[in-house]
Amino acid sequence: MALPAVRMTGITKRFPGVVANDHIDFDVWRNKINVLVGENAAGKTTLMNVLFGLYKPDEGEILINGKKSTLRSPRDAINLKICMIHQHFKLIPAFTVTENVALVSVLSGKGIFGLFKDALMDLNAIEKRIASLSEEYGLKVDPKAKIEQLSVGEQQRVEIIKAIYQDVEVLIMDEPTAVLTPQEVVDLFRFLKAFGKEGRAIVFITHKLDEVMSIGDIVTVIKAGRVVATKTTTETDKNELARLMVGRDVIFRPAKGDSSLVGNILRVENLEALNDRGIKALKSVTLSIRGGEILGIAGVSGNGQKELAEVIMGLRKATKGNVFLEDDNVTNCPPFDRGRIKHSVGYIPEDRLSRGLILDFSIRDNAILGSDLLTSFTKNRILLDYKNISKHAKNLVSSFDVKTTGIEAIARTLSGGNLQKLILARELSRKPRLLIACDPTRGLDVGATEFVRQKLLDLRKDGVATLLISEDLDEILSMSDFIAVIFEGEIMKILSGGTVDIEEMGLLMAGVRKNSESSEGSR
Amino acid sequence: MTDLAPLIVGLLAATVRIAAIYIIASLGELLAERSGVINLGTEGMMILGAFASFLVAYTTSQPLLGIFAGAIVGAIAGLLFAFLTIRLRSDQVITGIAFSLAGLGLTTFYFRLIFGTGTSPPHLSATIPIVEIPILGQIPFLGQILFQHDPFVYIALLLPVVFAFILFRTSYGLKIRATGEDPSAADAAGVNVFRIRYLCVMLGALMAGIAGAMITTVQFNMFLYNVTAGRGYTAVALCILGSWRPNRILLGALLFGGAEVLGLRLQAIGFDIPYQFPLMLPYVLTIVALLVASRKIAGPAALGKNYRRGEH
Amino acid sequence: MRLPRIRIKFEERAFPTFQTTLLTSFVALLIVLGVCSVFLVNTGVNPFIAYYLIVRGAFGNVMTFAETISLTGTLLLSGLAVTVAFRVGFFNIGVEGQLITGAIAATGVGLALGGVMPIFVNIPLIILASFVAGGLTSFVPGAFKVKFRANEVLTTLMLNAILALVLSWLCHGPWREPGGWPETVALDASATLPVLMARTRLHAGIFIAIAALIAVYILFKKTTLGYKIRAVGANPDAAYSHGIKRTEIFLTAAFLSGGLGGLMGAIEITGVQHYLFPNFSLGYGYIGVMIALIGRLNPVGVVIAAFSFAALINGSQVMQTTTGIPFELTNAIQAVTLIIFTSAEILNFYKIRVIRK
Repeated sequence: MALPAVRMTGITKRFPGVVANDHIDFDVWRNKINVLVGENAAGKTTLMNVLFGLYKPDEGEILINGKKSTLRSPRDAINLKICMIHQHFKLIPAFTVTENVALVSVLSGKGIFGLFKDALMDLNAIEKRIASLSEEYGLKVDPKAKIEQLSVGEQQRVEIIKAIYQDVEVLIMDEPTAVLTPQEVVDLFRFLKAFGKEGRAIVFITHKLDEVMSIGDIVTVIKAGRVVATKTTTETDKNELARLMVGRDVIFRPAKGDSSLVGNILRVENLEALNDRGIKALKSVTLSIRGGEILGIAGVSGNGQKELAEVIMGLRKATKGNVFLEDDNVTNCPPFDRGRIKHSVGYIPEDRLSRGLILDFSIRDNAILGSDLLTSFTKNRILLDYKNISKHAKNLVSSFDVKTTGIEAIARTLSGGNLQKLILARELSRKPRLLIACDPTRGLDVGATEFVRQKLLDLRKDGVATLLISEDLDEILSMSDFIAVIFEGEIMKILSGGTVDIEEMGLLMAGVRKNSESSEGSR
Repeated sequence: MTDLAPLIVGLLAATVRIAAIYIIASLGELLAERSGVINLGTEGMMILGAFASFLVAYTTSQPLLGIFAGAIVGAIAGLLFAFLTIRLRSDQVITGIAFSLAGLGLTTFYFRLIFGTGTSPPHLSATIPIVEIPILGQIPFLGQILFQHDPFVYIALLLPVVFAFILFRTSYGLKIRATGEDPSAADAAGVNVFRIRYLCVMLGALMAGIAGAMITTVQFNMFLYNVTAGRGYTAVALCILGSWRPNRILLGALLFGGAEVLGLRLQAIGFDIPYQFPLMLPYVLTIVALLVASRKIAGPAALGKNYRRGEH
Repeated sequence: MRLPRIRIKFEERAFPTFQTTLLTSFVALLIVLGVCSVFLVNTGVNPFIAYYLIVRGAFGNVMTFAETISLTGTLLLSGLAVTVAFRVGFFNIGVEGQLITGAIAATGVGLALGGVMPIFVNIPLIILASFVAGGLTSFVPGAFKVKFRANEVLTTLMLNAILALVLSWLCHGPWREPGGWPETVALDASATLPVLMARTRLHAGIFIAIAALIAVYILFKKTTLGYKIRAVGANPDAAYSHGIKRTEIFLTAAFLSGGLGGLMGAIEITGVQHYLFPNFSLGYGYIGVMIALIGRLNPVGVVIAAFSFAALINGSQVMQTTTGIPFELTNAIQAVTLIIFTSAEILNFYKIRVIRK
């Protein structure tokens, strides 16, 4: 039997308070797509970061083509023709495509008097080679463009070209489909299958079982830092994998149950706004949500969802249009103004670590983060009532099963899932009438995901209007009463949650309208 | 009218001489900041360099050795600063302030200890000699302004072009800028982020040390309590004012050198203003410059943030 | 027989606890004493004798003890001023300038009302004037940061230099006493803080300092304003997203910080010196920065650090007169203490594991 391109044995990596990889054995085979599957935070990314030289394993050994290797930094990995494309792309926004590729490459030019041969860069030559590679592999990129001007899909292509430029032999891709439309996923899979056949080894990290079955040849299941099973995709199926991943049968579609509908709580009319780079992020967006209803926003990330949530919350200026909470116009009012407090708006932000919590504060202090909460827990508005605050914090922790050593613990010590539960607990403690939830289950393990989704669905019974923004199409499909597809800041169409044609939705997400329908829903 | 000409020429020549000090310190800081580290300890490293150079130049009567000593002391201080901020990841701003305060304290103590509190402060017997450039130095007016200085001034005037070339045309510069923009991306591209930051910070501190040494061996020929008088901080401000570009830093340095010289000379000329006000000129100018320049979002994106593998 | 090999490993911990803070402070203190001994050996003096002399100079008898307490009050205000600012994320190095404007305001009121109004009118007015003056001096760089994104370390430092020159001008010019010296006339007794202990310089300003300490402690421990200040300092984005008016809080904290600095200038003039002259501050503003950092921005730590520094300064002055060791030794000791304590901060995040092989 041939040697695997990479053989990792006994890999153990510890972080304060957690063992991310626990004596993992993992082989990477050439001419195959090796899939690493597991829940979020199972240890897949950590394992590949070890292979890529970003982490030093506490124990274990790595053999590259049969030879024992120590990978002290990504440079060692790249020299061994191992390239990793992370979930958050490692590209420099202010640099051009060419400059990003030049950064990785070991250059050898003419130098000055034979010295400093790798000092002078021949950017033109690099540019030409990028163009030819782009042509050869069908990955369209403009070498002169700055990364910050490119769409997420284009950036991914840049990352791939970067790897090809280094003559990559082992290509690692970490959750690459999160940012793609269904059609782009098809294109990517086609590319990977062809690319992998030329003697290369591909490692594909994902938590989506459909993808595993669709593209994988060999699949390794990781659970809580340990390898649970290694099989070929022909000898297993989705249900078995799910059971291996989680340890029990997984409910794929939660039961929605009844809702109690009320009148319009949120109404957005002709909303326009700019993004951070000054380009129009929202173009004449109109939608509304009734109490007891979940409106899901489906779309590839970067098409205006983040900006929409921010405008509704008052964190971003609307250049045109209005935001109404019932009859109150709250357009461009600052966050937590009178209007939003009156209608009790809850917000789970997209970048939860930086915006949803203060990581250096204790859980108790985070429990009252909010000007409305602060005022409600004071005597005479100046002195904080710590007795009641502590009670409130303990309540949040217990009712949402947040695993922590106590309310005095600093938020930084909590895992991602528990942080998200804490944020959700706090927002729901306001008894909101409108909840804006951005990626509420991203990065959470299956248990926490089920919990959060169930809580959101329960809100429908209480007449709460929920705006659900998520990269996870399954989540949108299974939870929404109505789905608004967004593309480049425009609402393409509003679909009814019960009967959705996935293909149509995929096309809408990619900006293709079937015929000339208006961009407002039939409501 | 003819009286004015030599006055202005003298003023401009002094401006160039003082600007050289700002240029060297500020380009050093530029290097550190382009790699993502803000070093507010530059003031401390300058005064340490000034003292070390004075001490060595005084005992050996060799001002050149003084410059050398200043460089070494600066580099050592830079190494310590780099270790604290890069390896131990302490806050760059706070550590920098601590270094500047500490530099002042240490030099004050050792100066008093070694040289006592006599009424006449100790002087250097020799400063760095002026080297006039042949032919060019004889040009009327321009010759005195640009070509009758000591060698370090010439180096300082040429350095911005060299730095610009390295920073924007070489792979070293690309790596440095990448480290300052997004160290996580640079790391994943195989760039040794830690080594680059160490080198840039140490080199920057070394240059600060040289700049400080130039104060005692070129500008003056003695050492005083707080002889740097905030020039190190001005050097940091110059990075901002110059939008982190070497050639603009050169212009800024000339501006500030001029303000400093003007302040001193106005006082001597005896306008009917109390002497304190012309002396305020460099400080007021720094504040105004900061107000004007800081609005632009031009700095390295990761400036001031410590990097750790595994975080964004 | 083989001896067991012991390997000491530094392992990261997730967050510091109270015990780690105590331990690291203690270790830092030991290192400081060690390094300072090196300085002292440089001067040819036995370090232990020097330490003894310093301690005796600070507490030896009632008079020196009172002097130390008096200086503690001054330094405490400085440290508190810096603490409030740093907590909100405003790196206020300008206390040196804020105390100057406070002193100027205090002198102005004192000269105008001294002998005209009774002391229980003058002192509160002086306190108010100096607080406001110092507050505005800090507010301006704060506004510059908010509006122009100007780095406040640089602007406050420049302002210090400018204000020192303004003070010099005032004393040489408009406020110069008839008779020649570049200083003001002495303030009338009704505009000065009463002395608490005969033949010492311990004055009522210590009460002001203690009041400030209690106020700052309560501010951060119990009030919504204190919570908001901490939130803006820790994560301005999160604070803003949750309705905390980050600009208002930032500027308020900046103002309060400057106000405390202004108070410090006022009590120096009305309590200790009784007249205004250039360079009356021996770098107290910068010492305040050191104290705040060493005290880890915690009022309790600040008061301990202030007391230690006051003892160090006073003790060294006395030591200089008896041994001739330059007083500037304190500068070196302060410098070393600052560097070592700020570096030791990082030890809070590690724990030591001893592994036997």
